[in-house]
Amino acid sequence: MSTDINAARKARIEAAALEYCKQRFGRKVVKIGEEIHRSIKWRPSFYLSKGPVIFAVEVEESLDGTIFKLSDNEIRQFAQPIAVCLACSLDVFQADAKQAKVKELKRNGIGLITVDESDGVATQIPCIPLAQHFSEEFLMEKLRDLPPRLKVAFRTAHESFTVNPGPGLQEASQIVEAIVDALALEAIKAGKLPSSAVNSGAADKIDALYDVFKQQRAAFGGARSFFKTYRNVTSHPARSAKEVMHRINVCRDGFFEAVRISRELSQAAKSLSYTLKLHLG
Amino acid sequence: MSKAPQLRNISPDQIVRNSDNPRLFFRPEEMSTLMASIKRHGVQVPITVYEEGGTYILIDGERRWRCAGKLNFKTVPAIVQPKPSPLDNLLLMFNIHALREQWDYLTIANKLPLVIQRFAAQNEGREPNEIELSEITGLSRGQIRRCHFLLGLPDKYMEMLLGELALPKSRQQLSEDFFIEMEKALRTVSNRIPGAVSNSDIARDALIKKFRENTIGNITDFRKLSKIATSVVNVGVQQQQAKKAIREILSPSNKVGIQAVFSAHFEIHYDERKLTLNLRSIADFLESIASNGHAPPGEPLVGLLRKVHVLIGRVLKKADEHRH
Repeated sequence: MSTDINAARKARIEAAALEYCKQRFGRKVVKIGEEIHRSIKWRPSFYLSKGPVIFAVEVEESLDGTIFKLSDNEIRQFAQPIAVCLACSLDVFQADAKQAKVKELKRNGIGLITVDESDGVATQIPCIPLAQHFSEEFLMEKLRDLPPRLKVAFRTAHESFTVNPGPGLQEASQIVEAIVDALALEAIKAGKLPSSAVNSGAADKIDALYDVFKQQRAAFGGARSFFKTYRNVTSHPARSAKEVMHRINVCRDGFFEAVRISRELSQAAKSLSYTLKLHLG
Repeated sequence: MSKAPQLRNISPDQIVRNSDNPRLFFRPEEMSTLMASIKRHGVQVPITVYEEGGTYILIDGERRWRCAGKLNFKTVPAIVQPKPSPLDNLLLMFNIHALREQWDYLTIANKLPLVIQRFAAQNEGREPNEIELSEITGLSRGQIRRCHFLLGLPDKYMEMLLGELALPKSRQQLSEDFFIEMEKALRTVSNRIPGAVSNSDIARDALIKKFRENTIGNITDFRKLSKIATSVVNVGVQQQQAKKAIREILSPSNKVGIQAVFSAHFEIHYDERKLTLNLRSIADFLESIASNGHAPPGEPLVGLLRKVHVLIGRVLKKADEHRH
């Protein structure tokens, strides 16, 4: 009885979790107890690669996420997307009756898988690359001054972003486009734009609005720049892990830029006393 | 001549744990706190190792070594000592922890037999007595006795305790102290009231159940169980009465706790004894005041004595009425 009492239990959880991850993420690259990179000050229990994404798992008999917090910045800055996950026993998960610790893991972008007494494995929190994660609280802070309708739309876009940043950014762009359309429609109604403008594309509508409303040029200029920068971000497939990481970061920047532009366009509409009728998909 | 200890930076991958390390529990919460500190400040206190066959065996610092490995440190500072004898290997770990953060009792208890065995091997088969054991391990004699209580636990309860100790402290229900206090009380009961415990395991199960259900609210209640057992000799309670009370407490089929039984039938006897002792010293003091040559008592004492005088009269009258 000279060894760590928890070691046998941890070994069992690790074996079950590893098998589960192999089935989900493939068996090509599997490293056990090795570093991901010398720049990352965390050596996970094991990690696997699926395409450009690394899935790194820490096996622990607690829901404590300290090790992830300690290496969060290094993981986010790394040139390859890394999804991190905690594997623990189902008992430990269930002991967190109010889910306080589970919620904290989720808030920090940490996945969670549990292993029961008969080695049954279940995903409790899905695992996404950390660089792709931003918390609900962070998002709500960003959305703070937006009208309720836009808040709902961006939250839906965020859900898509969490699964895949490309479509998430696309949804955010569509929100900006919907505001531009609504603004153009109001301008046509007010006789500021010709009725033919209704059939123009978003870029032309922005140009027309820019020309007409001098006081609101900053907002329209920002919208024009947004479309120019982020229109084609996701149209070409990323060929390397580095490109995937770059794309995640660009999509993330684009998402927040969409929020900012939406706020400015809403304020522009308010200053023109326009009531926007948004047609969001 | 053995080489002097040297400070070196060693890769955590070159270090292996010492199979003699008595530590049984590496609680994740405690490890997290240490990990955060090591990440921020590095390993401030070098670990201690000895070299053997190209690898380094840990003598002290397993938690620091584990954290350094987990944090992907390339090296950790380590004091490299000459290889100790098997007994010294163990004793070094005991003494380091006696001076620093103490281990769980079970951790110590599990290794004590090995210390005794290795001591005997170095001393022509002679086992250390309690004083020697205390000197070589750095443990107090009280700690050694507490370890012996844990070592005497049947396997079933040892496993139960291990299961509890592996949990984070906040979730532990049955502590080492619980088992130590319970065992001490059961031993006292068995010694003082023969036949009161017909089956020790049934008694243990009943006490554990009652503790889990909060019928026994505190582990110090076990001291009251001992007091019930010693009440026959100490305060003149009838043996049958004590036996009946103990059997009731040790029965798994009721919800009778130690405190309830003690308060109802035994506490008064102990209070009486305490009062008798106090009165005896008061009587001695009053006798000395009453003697010639002593200054008269001050007003506060006189006032209090008058009050007590009236109360004593009332209690004695009540006692006389009861007697007749």
